[in-house]
Amino acid sequence: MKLKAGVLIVAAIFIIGLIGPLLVSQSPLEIHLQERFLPPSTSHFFGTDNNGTDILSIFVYGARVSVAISVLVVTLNLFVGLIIGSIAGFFGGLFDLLIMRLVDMVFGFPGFLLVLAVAAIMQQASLFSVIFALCITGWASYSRLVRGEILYLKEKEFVVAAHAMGFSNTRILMGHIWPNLMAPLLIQSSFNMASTIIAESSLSFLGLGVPPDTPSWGSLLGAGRQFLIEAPQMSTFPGLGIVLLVLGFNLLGDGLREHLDPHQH
Amino acid sequence: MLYVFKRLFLLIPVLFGVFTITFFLIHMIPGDPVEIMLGDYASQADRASLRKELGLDQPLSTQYFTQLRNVMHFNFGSSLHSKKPVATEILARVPASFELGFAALFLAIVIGIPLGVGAAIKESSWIDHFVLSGSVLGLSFPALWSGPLLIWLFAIELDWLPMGERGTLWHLILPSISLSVGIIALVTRMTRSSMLDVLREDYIKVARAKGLPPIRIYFHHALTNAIIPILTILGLIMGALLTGAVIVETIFDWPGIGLLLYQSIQNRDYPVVQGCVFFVSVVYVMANFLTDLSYAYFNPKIRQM
Repeated sequence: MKLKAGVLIVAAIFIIGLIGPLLVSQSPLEIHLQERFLPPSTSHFFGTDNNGTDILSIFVYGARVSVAISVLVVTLNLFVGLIIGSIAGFFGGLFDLLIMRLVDMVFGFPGFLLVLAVAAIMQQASLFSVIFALCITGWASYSRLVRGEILYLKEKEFVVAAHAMGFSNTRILMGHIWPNLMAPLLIQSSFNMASTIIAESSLSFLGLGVPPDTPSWGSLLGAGRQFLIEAPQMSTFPGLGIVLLVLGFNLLGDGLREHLDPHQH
Repeated sequence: MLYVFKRLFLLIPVLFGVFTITFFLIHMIPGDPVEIMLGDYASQADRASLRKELGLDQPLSTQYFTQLRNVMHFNFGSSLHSKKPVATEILARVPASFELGFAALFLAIVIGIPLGVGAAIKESSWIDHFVLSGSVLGLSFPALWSGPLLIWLFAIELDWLPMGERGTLWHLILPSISLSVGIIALVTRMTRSSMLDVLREDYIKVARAKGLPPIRIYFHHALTNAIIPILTILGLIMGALLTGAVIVETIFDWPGIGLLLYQSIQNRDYPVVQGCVFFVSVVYVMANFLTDLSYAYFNPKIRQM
């Protein structure tokens, strides 16, 4: 039930982000000052913002930006976390000790604060700086998860057997251990998508996220804050987008956990 | 007692790490901070004097140890904007942030725990499904949107409550609701699963068999035991409160540390940014420390580790 609802919502927004921009007639950067603050109507389904820009157009391009950034960030986090966590868990030793202290330090910060500080320091907002900032803390939880799972799997008979057969470490790690990490990593990634979407929108909301000429839900919400009386649609629609997408990934994560996590049964 | 000292000792490297990371973050700034602070039109002499004032003419290692010594003496330098000491600026904002955080935490406890208990008692009923769906929705509802939505509904359309700024108890309502939505969901979920675990215990069966009134079983026998695991998410809650505060305080013009951080970022007031990040991180580390302690207090097994 949860899984289905999650897949449905996430798929819907992915499709909006993918083909939506092809269907809207206006560019999300077009300014028509004489058409400011128009309420939703048949010519502008979501109304217009303080620049007279079509909000539907910002919405669909924003979906694309939000999804693209989060997918990139989560993939990077997953990749870095998997490699670092694997080395730490599988080989142990000094590397393990140092990495785990570093992970502890990252966890010593309230996550978003570090992201905020990095984004603030990088100043010239660019897609790269946003992605970099969001990755600063994300890899740590994957490393910790992967390391823990590997410490547990390492003692399992099938791994001991693989060692006895004389398989190389790389083969054991990639062929025997990694496939067993799929389920926990999938669950983690789903929740990570949800938190990344919130973090990215929050950065853009504060003006520290995507560059001003990139349409984004967070930036529109940030701008809409000043015009709550004239144009509540500037806040309603991007907010709805964020909540739906985050809800979709939270449901997906919950659903996946119920289906895949052996510890739950 | 030994456990407390051991844990306290372990805090030192974490705090040191927090300082080191904030220091290098600030010094990672691409380009010259003096240039950024003064803008393009400053004279050469102004730049040199500011550079000297900030100690930027010293080698990085010297700067690092000077700052480390200063921080140990609670000296975080002065704001470039107001010229007041950073520590004074931050301390002036503490009451507002504390008030907001406390109100949000209060809401989370008085709403989250009863909801979680109710859902657990009526497991798999419509109440349970309703509470669970509500909690997933709550977790997905960032202050980013609940803030503007609440302002629009209660301050603009209905005109019942003030839009922002700190003042009377009325001013506190909207920001604290906005900050607590996700935390209520978190507390509800944790209470529910913790209660469910406890309700399966033998002593609950015994209490039922003895014919004790359900109210007494749920609140006296079950909840008192279910509270302990809920404490473990206190660290998570503090994280949510501290980071949520930046957004909520900005939306509601609430004069706390979150708003100070946002304003200093806007003003490129780096000493204040560094001070805020360091201060909030210390609060977070201390909150986690207290969580560990309270957990050890309730669960003697941990003390032996």
